[in-house]
Amino acid sequence: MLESPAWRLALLLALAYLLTLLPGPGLFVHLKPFWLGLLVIWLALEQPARGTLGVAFLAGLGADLLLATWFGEHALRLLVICFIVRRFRSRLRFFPMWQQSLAVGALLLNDRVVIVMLRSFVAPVLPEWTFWLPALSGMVLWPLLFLVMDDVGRRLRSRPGM
Amino acid sequence: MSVANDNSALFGSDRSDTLRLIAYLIVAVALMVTDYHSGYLEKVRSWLGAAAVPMYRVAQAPAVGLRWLYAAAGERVALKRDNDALRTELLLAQARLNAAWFEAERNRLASGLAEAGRRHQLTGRMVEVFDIDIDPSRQRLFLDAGSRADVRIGQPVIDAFGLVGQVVATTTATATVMMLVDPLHAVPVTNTRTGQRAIARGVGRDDRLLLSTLPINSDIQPGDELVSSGLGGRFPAGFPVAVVREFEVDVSGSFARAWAEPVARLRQSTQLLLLDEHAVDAAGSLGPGDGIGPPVPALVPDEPAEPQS
Repeated sequence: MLESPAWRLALLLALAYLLTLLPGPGLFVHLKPFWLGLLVIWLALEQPARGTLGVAFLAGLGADLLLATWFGEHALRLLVICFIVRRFRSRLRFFPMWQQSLAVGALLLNDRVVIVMLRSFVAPVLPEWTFWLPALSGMVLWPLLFLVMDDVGRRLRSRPGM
Repeated sequence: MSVANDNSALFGSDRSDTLRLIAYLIVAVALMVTDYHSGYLEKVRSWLGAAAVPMYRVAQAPAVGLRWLYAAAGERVALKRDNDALRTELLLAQARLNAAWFEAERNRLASGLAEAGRRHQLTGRMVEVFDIDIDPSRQRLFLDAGSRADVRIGQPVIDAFGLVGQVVATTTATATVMMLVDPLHAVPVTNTRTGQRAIARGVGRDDRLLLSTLPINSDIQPGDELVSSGLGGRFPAGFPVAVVREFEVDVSGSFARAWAEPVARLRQSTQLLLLDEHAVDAAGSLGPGDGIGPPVPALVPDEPAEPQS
């Protein structure tokens, strides 16, 4: 059962949810990257058959349920990320790592802007400077994450066809 | 444009991706609007939300484990249990004391006023807070008790230092607390020094509340303590809410505003006190209740129901 890529994808998603919920020690909570976003970026880049808009949407709905945000909030954020990556996939894939990291940082920063936009429909938002840190930490973590996921990806790819 | 065509030639499905994006975006926005404006999705959430509890437990396990190790290392597990029980008592006692003190203060300020003053017997119970992170930029907490444990939307939540917020959503096994610093939250307060009333709103930051559109000649000084005034009936009177830090004239020049710092330790508690509130004497209970509508007798005789023949 665990051999099938669909199950592996579910496992990865569960892991991303767990990391999202994990309380950080002290001020590290502000540095916690948007794990789901990073996962979706990686899927869209390296596993285009799995990193589809539908997967991003469903993963987002799951997060909405888990974090008690409005239904659709995380879904919309992940959709935006997934679409941009898929659109520029051919170029992003052949960027050198540092350039790819910068692109990921820009994507995550854009994601923070989307949050501010969504929330300000309901009440004026006045984010603290720490609000922007997850984009930075995501950018810094990306190369490391990419290496680890590359290994996971090789296993995922070993059995094509879900 | 030509670049986009390049992409579609290489990897295909570019146009269908765009169409799909539009479709999904419409669905996402529709969901958000429905969720915000109607109660349909609350039902879905209250059923499915309980399924997330195992996830919460796993996520908080490392932190809980560390705390447990810390307690065990000192061979204080038994002591700790006693300690917890005592702390519940202490919280309640402190809450009653606050209420009593406020009553006395108000009588001193407004003696002669015909306001009888609603007297409250405070009861509450300790509820665990899930030690998980749901985005430090959102002012919410998750409680480890839900509608099955009789947690109701609107119940005030306090810690040992002051008001934390109120329950805004419940699932069968969890409850969401909106903290008083949330931009959607407002609480009626009284300045203990002068008796002046105001509304303290959250602005989305953990360390501040805003008292806007105050009369320009208001007597407010940094250091003034704000307690809940009990107006509106949602929060009982007399709970410490915040301490005034700044007082300034706003941009228009015709109003003043003040910034205050909440006294509750908003994100540091693993247990919070969930308050139930009911009137002590029957006379008090005949006044307007928390909701709108005819007064309901609060004291139901606590006798076993006799089957009427």
